Amino acid sequence: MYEAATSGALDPLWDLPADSPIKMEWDLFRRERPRLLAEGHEGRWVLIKSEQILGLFDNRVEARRVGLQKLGVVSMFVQQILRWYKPLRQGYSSLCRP
Amino acid sequence: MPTLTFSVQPDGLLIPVMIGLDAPSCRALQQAGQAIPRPLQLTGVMDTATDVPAIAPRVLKVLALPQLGSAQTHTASGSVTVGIYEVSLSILPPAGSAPMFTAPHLVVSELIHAAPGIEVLVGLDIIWQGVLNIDGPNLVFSFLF
Repeated sequence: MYEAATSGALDPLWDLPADSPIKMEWDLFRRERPRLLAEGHEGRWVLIKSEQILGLFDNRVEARRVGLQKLGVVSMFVQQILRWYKPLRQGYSSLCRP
Repeated sequence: MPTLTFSVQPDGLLIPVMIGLDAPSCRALQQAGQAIPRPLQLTGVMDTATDVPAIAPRVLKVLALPQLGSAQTHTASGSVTVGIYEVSLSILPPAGSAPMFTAPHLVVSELIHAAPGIEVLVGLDIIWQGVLNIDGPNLVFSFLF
């Protein structure tokens, strides 16, 4: 198992480019994640818009529902609060093609 | 169980898919009296080496999908950051042969390296929802759901 998942250490989160539509939200999440984890919110979902945490939720669907209700169909940040984020596999792209 | 059966192509398990806004976003736009972007019919590939379905950036742009998060994926040149979005995804049946498979609310990632003509990787999040049978000798595959 990945070391950070068992040791209690936090995996550092990656940076986003300055022109990312969720740059502000991502940076806030990076700053607030240690506090959210320390307060016992591991596994829950956070909804962030601009520099404001709009809520904490037990599942993604509820976070998204509230986001749509409050903000409409715009970029917003909906993220599960974890110590470690498993990289996604995009397998097809790894094929060697002639 | 409804069954969608397709021929295996030289590029793999290719399927016709329809990608549109996720159902909650459509409802929100409808309630606000705003237009809903038309879904796009695209070529996808069933890919068991993909976790979350991945969609080409061109498609995300045409549908004006708002970004909702960030994740990392591995490539031959190292880790790459990708955007996270929500869509509806349907697998279309061969001409009028069966009901279509539809996931009305699905988390997807941005596809880093789209192969020519293939804009959607249909990964395990979808495959786990049904039964995928591959008949190699006869070059056909079926998705039961």
